[in-house]
Amino acid sequence: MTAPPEVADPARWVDDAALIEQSRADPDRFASIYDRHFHAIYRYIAGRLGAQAADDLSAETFVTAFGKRERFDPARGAVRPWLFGIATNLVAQHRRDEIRRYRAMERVPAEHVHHDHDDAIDARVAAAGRQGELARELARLSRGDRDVLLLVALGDLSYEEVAQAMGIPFGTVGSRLNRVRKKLRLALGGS
Amino acid sequence: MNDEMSAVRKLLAEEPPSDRVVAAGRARLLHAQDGRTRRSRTALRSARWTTLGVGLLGAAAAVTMVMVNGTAPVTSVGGTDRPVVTQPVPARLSAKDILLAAATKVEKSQADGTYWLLKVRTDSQRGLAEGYWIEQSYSNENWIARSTSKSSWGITQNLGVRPATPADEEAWRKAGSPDSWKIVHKIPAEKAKIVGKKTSEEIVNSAAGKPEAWRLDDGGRFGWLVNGPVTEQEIRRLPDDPEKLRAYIQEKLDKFARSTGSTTNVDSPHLEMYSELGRVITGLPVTPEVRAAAYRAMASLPGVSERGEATDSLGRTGQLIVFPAPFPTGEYEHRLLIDRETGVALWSETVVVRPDTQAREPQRAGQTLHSTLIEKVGWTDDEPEIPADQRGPEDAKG
Repeated sequence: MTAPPEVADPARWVDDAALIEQSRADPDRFASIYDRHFHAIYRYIAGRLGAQAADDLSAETFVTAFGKRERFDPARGAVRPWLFGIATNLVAQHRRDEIRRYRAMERVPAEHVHHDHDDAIDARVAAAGRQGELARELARLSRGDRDVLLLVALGDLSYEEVAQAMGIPFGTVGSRLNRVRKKLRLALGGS
Repeated sequence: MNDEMSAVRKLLAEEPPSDRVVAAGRARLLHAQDGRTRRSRTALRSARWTTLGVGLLGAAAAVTMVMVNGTAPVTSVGGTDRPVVTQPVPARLSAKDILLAAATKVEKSQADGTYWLLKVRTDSQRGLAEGYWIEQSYSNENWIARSTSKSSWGITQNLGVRPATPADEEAWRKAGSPDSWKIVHKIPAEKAKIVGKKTSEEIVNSAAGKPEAWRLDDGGRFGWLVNGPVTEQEIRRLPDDPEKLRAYIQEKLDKFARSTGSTTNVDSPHLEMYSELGRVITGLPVTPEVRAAAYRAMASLPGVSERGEATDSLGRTGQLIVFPAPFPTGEYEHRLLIDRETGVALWSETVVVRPDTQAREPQRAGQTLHSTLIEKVGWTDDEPEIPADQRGPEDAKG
């Protein structure tokens, strides 16, 4: 997790939860939430659905969050996982597109498999082949497993934050992630 | 320990949002905060596409590609559909002249249509431990919509596997005419240490598959350059000046080489550039100017030569450009067939000249490692045939 730059100056730093609180009376305060978290949310959605879907759904995440700000409960977790939870629900509505994206990645390298004429290309082919295996495995994962994996890999969320984002027990996060990582290691040709 | 996590990150990484996207999202949020009626998702989506579409539309207005004629339906063919090199014509052009002429032709031609379509058939011959070769084929279509009201589609079909040549067919019969094969890859020593095994196996089946379609609009794939998929944004950024295009590709190649720690093949220093320019010419929905720039850049590469006329498996005749690819443990040759009239690329292949002693699969001289037959390329008013079971309710767009 990267700390927001403002944290260097604690006097000026207003924490997320306080911003949400303030935005209940002054909606403009919510824009600061956007500025702090948009890039991270975008990266997460773009990784799962591609840049064009992310253009739309990242913005939608914040509009949705704004609409739900009255219901945000700091006792149940921080703002960041709350936003990632909303983003994850939006991604779930596009599961077919997500699977298609992985399936497309799985196929693309086929073109290169027989193109190896020197070391650089050989390395590229090996990388492409492994990526194909990886994409195939991503497409196969159950929704819950994929959510946990990608919240960690793309969202940089801690186990605690994943648990908050998905509303699942902390222990479940760890066991799901271990299972998924084992599968991915196999897909990558490891043991 | 975190290898698989970083591999996932690398696989899925996309460029950060543009300033325009960040600003648009912020505006949308403020809009919602204002308590005014929220614009529907659909409206926002089409507004976004309008902005994105300008590039494609601009490209489309000037695009030059011509539909390649004479496309026969794909039928199952054996390994005999190689172009036949015919007698060289008198006073033939040099490779450089052929490429420069192709540049002028693709640059000037005109086109109009609903989709940019690239339909190819790819064939790869692969050696088996049993001592004969098989050929594996795919059909691949990319339908990239010009208008925002249409979806873009990719359609792939596995066309199956068969013995590569009549001689291979005989060997296959002697082996009991199996309908599936196990291909064993040798893993190079260095990599074997990392992955912990010396071979990996792949099973291929003779049966063809059904066409499979997927939407390209979201997370779309517009082709491949150097080590990764190309985004629509990148396609629009490709320089239409030959030198700048070379510099752009070189930068990507260098970056990739640094990331893998690999070095240039001294036997064939321009090989990678040749391959990447070939991709721009045959595989990407670029503007006519960029395609022309790729031809001109290729004309400037040392090592390009020509080999007279050749005819492809669809009966189309063109001029054959070849590029040698020697490397320390073997030699390949790249071939590219260019239509004399239109300058359009018809077909390309990579052939084994001297088998690579380090190859991961058995090789033999004359083997086609990979060939791409370009059946259709250019703008068209046709509609893609999307299998009914793959056109979900959310796909019924436009």
